[in-house]
Amino acid sequence: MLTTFDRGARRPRAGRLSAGLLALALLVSACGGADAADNGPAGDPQSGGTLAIGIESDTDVLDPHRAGGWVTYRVNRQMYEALVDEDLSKTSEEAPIPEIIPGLAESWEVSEDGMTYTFHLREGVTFHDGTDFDAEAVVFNVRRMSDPTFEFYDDRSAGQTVFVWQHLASVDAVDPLTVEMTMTQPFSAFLRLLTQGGGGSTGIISPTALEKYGNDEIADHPTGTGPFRFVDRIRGQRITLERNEDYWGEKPYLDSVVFRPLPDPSTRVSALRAGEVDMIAVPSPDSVSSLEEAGFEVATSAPPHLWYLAFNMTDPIFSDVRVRQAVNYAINREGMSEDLLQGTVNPAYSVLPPANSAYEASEEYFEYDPERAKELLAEAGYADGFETTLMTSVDGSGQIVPVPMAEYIQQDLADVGIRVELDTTEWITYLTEWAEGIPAGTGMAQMSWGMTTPYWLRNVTSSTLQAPNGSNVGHYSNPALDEVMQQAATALDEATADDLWRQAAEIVHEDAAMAPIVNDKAPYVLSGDVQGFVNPSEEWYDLKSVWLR
Amino acid sequence: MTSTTLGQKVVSPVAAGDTVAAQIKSRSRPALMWRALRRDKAAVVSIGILVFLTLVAVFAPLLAPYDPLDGDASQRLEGIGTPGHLLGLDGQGRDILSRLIYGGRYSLTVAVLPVLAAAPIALLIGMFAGYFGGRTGNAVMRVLDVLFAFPVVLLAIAIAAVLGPGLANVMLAIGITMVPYMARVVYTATVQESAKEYVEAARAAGATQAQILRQQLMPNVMSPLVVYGTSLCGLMIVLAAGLSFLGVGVTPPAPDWGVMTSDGRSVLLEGYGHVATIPGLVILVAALAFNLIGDGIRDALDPHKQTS
Repeated sequence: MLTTFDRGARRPRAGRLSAGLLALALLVSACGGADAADNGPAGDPQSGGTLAIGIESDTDVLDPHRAGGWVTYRVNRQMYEALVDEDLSKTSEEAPIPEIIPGLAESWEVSEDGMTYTFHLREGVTFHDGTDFDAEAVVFNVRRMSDPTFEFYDDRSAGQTVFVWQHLASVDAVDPLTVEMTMTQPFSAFLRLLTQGGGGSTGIISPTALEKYGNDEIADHPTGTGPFRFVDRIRGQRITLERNEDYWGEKPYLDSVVFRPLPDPSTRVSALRAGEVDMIAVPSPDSVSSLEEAGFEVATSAPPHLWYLAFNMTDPIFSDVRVRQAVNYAINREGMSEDLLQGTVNPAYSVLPPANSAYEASEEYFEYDPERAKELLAEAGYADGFETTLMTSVDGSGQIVPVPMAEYIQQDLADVGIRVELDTTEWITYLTEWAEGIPAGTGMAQMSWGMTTPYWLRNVTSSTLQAPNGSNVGHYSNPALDEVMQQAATALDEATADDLWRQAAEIVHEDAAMAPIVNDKAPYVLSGDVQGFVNPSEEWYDLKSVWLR
Repeated sequence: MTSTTLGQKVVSPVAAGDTVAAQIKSRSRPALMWRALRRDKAAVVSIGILVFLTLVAVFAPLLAPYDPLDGDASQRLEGIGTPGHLLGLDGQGRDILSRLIYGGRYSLTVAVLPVLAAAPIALLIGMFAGYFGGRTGNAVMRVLDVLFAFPVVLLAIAIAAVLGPGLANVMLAIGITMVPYMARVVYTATVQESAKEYVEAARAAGATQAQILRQQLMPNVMSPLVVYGTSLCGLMIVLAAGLSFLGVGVTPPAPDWGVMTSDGRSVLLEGYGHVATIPGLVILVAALAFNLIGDGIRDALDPHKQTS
């Protein structure tokens, strides 16, 4: 808008007038955008328009295999597709766990012994650069992520996607439209993991583009098969995508999508109110009710997003299970959810986040009971409490508002005699420190995470995945738990696996190895013009069904 | 040439040196300064404000109606005039008045100590480089120029990140980052003053370099340093808050005024303006007081205004 005025000022008179009119028209349309209260009948979906989304931080590289983090996957997912997909067209109420649906593979079979996966690929799919999608392209991509002998093998991609390919023995193109993968052991979570994007993801990249740009440059030239194709990226400013006119499935309504990193929550809210963006991720909890009053739509869901504390098992105080239980009992999760976070989260009592087949919402292990906490502390020999440190980030992808939440916990723990120092760190540094494991002298560390498979629990509790070789940052070790999780991971049918995962969660609860705090509802706030957006039980979303009126 | 002319006017170098010293000692410099400062109404009021804030901070446990760290989240964000909470409650449901009272302990310390610590170092570096000049002096200033290339906050973050969070480390980090700025002020003043006649006169009168530096130059370069230093004090509160915001400063839930302001920022536009505005106003008043005292001291240090 400002540019329009500037340009107008330098033009001759007639030009200036038309520029002025244009600016006026833009102003009017911008006001229309800000007028979220206009909630009349939506009418039929219509094509066209640009959707601007205010996202909570800049993204990682636009290379699906290499990139980590939800924020980045939300962008990559619009351009890249994996062999199997998730049905994200349903809300959490309609589908607590998104159904696995065909993606680039039309169908697949799993052998009786659970060792061989045969994928039948979709015919007539082309990449954004015109390359045909076929079995060789799949093999190329899988080898990039898993085969160190391959010319295009990429260390970083392998590291980020090891959770998917760890049991892969071989991948073969049986014919142009059939791919066969064999495993070293049955792996019940495999299909679901193919759809995940919290760490690296398995979207298929054009082999021609990879050969042309190489493993490092491909991120600047994303080339997938998805409903949207890459236009440009200005780091810290915006990422622009446009509709893929050659998309094999139903084409998106939107002409283009602009992702705008706006790391400060107040800035995001202001940008939405001013009509600069059409929707935002992660509004500040205190802005939600006033945004709703102003007529904006708030779309929440129940994705696998657990905000939890990991305990340092090697700490002389926290090695006592009674202390860990006491901390669990001392935290008022309901109060934090309703008062501090204004209902944008649900209190969490299970170490398994929601939206996975083994999750049981009814089980509440550690309901708020400060008296019980004091008793346990007294039994453990800390009747007068003790001092410890809680490490937390100050911001970051999915961390909600970590410092106020940590302060809330600090006050709750002070009530039972535990004096907590907060060690606060900026997100990227925090993530590095966290991955190194909780340092000596620090009792607890905060993190937000989860997956739509109970297999996630293994990431944070398995003794083989102790930091720095995994995300078990508290160095928790329980051989009985490892055994149950191994059985669960290799179980042949889902019901048996879920049963075993529930047993595993039970053991983690008994050991009180973590303190689950809240499950985020992952709210998005939309202006009245945005139609057809669904916030599903995942940390990411589809934009195919979204249209602007 | 000039020095010869001046030299001719002086009868005896030794006698002249004595006269200068005698004049200075006839009435002590601090006493002269204090007399001049007392006549400055704004400075007197400012001193009153800072004394008041300091006393409040010192006697915080006696004055604060509530525990500054313990909140009741069910009452959070209630506004000014809430029964029992004169200035309302913050995002954690803590009493804002109590936090302000305790907050002075952090904010006033962080405002004054780093500047006080950095000033003598800056004075030494600046005067040395400015008076002696030459290669060494230039080299020193070029090193400082390199430090100027880094934004203050970035440098402070780097230092604080190495040292770890906490009030003491923040003060150290801020103090170190302030040295080049203050040294630059001293340097410029020294270069200017060194060229003036009175320095040459003293030199011609046979004063040693140490005497010139200490007795002639220092009083004259002190005043810009003091003015600059006091104007920095208010800024320090804000800088410390910025570092806390980035996780390398005062750790929550410490009721630092700057931290309180940045805490309130997230709800500023949601109708809870008091959370950020009240501590923000206190910082404003404190910073203004420091600046006015700085101005007052500058005038008071000015030899022309002292004598009257």
